[in-house]
Amino acid sequence: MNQRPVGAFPGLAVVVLVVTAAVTRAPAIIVAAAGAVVAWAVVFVTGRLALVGVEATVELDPVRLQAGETLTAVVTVVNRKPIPLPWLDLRLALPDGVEAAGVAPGSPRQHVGAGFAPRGHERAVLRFPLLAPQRGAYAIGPLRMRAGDWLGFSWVERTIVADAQAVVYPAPIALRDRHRPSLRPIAETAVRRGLLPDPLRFRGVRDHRVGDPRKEIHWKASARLRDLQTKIYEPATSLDAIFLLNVASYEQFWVQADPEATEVVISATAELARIAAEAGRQVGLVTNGLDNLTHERPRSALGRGPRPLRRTLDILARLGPYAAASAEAVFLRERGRLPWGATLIVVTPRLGPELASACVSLRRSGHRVLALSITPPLPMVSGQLRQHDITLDDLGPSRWREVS
Amino acid sequence: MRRPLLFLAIARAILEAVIFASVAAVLHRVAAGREPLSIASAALLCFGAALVLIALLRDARAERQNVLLTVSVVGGTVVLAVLQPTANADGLAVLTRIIGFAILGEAFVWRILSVARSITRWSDARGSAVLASIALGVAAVVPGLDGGPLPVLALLAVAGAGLALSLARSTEELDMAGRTGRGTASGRTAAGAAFVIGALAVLAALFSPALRALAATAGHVVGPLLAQIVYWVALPFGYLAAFLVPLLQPLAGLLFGREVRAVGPEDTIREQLMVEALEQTRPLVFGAIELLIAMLAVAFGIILIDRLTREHRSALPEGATLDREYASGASLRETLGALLPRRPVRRARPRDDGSTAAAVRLLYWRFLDLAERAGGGWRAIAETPGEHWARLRRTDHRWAAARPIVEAFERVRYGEEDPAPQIVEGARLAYRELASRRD
Repeated sequence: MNQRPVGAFPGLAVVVLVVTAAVTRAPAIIVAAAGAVVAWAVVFVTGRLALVGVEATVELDPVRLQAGETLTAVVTVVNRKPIPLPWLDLRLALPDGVEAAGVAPGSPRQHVGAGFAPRGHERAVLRFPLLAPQRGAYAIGPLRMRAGDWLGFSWVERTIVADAQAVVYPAPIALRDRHRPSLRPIAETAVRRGLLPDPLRFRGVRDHRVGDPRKEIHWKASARLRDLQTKIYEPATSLDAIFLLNVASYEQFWVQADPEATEVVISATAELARIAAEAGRQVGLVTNGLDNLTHERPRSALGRGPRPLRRTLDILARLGPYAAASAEAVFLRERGRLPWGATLIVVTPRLGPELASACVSLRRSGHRVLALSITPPLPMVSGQLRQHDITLDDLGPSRWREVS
Repeated sequence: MRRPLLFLAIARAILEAVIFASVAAVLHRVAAGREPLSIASAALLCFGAALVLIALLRDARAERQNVLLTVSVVGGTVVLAVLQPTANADGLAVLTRIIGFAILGEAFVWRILSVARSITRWSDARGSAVLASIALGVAAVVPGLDGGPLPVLALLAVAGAGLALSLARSTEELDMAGRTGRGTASGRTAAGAAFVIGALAVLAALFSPALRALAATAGHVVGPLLAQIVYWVALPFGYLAAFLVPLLQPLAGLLFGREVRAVGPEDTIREQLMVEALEQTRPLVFGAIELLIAMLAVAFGIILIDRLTREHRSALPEGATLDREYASGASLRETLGALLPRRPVRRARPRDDGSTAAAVRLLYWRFLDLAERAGGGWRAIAETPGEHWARLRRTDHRWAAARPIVEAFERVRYGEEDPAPQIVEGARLAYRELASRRD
């Protein structure tokens, strides 16, 4: 966006000087009048040409990082005209969540600025170190450039929309909260327990329980032991892990979530997803949260490799504190799209009866379900989950134990 | 004191010197001065004193010495005023003279103090420039003053004003950028260079008669020598001209049809009349030429000084870096061409020959027109239709409805095929939808 020059040379004073010079014909006044005319011309020309041929771009390096890491904003200013500028003031606006690195207390954090005098036909590359303490997707800019004429009577400003975005992934939860131990045991638990039994890999028998399928009864062993025995199998080899993330902290999902709880569940999900991807598992994400940029409910399809993981982490970085619907409604709606046998890891701030029922439904659909909750569920809910062989873990800050 | 600040101090000192030398000359004339005050010497003295004071007063340790400096300057001004010869001055006239110059000295200290304390303030530099031009104007029109050096002082004032304004603005802006960017402030101690220059100027002013005599003696010695050198340099050209002119005269007559004639007495009379006419119009003609020369000199001076003294430092926040390198770009002519008003671009509407391809081209042209009116802009030369459409969608997702138009145009433009009528109809419907939304 270009603007007309602000401020002007006092042309009236020049006219008065020229008239005085013409009337008095005094050489000193003639010289002064000539100087004023030349100064007027210099101000006009250099003021109009101040930002002509000046181009600027903004880039970020890296564009993907973890919360708490630093990134660099690279501002390239090119003065393509042969005329130098006496000064150029740059100001790069920063969004909430990104700040200049090494800022002294009390200093402005909403922008970084610099001033220098570009010469003619010169490219200047400025590198500003920035800090991203919070997860999110950030659009840096706009970049405001201000320059003036050579004598300082006028200045012109241009605002450039910088097409520079950075995605800041959630920090590992162990980094966020030093009292919270690493999630690796949970992840390993998920790996070990999150696999469906493979009917081709017979392991042994156990006592029959109410609810065991009749087809799984080992008749020969039952006859020999004179008691019903149920076949048990080695776990299946499926490595799928789908994270079901609930951002709603309260029963009423439309109420803004507790930010602290939201950050904990998002960080935990991100770390689990990283661990799962590193272990070579396919990862996917389903959430009831809303994307801060698109305001839509995002979803990451199951996949292996860096791209699905990046997609999952991008979604987690951009999740806002509002939910599109209740977690149970979203998870059950997605049930038909989940691959059979996938391990479902439900990460939630609280585990109410409705969500517990949804977990049971998912378990009955042939999925292994692991639930992680910040708030310990009610005993009734815990019993219900235990009854359906759903693993429940606590994400609470004070303890880290396996409930079932 | 950094180099730009030194230049700034010199420029501001020039302006203050012009102001106070002019006022002192007028005051001396008004307060019974016998002979006109030498404005050149006064200006030199004021310049030196101003520079010395600026160098001293910019030092924070000089706070306690302000009174001493004020008393010294005012006392010195009064002494100089008393030492100047007066014409029939009675006691009252002498007292008036003393009081007048004491006030002038105090005003000088006050001005220099403000200059030293806010040397980078652009508005102060502008005020000084205006004040200098007013003082010069008054000195130029008051009769009986030493008006000889005034044009030179005016030229110096113009150059000093340009330098002061330019440097003050750049320094001020860079300081502000550094403040917002938490850059490191530069050192602001008293400068030895400024002090030395100022002291030399004061000495030169005090011994100006002796220096003038020295210059005159040097002129007497060096002048004939220079004249002889110029004579020996020019002599071969004179012989060359004497050789070439008789050769070229017949050729000129052949080409331009003029006969070579000898200079007669009538021509001498006519030339005499022309010279008289020139003499009558001489002030006007010389005024214009002087104006042009002065304008060129000042323009050259400003550019030169600006190039020499431009602020090369940068104000960067902590940890930020700045790398500079050469970049190709526009020429001076192309740059100056940007000052000229540009004609609005006229887009040629595609010709409709009744074919479906022409219909698609026309629809796409209308779509581009719609996009430009909506602020999205026409398709750039280096942009494909798809890229342009994607750019539009990034600004407003409703442009997604233009897909049939863009795809049909791409088939026509790159596939060189006539689209089916239903494709044209689809594109037409899409255009109507877009147009109705814009309405």
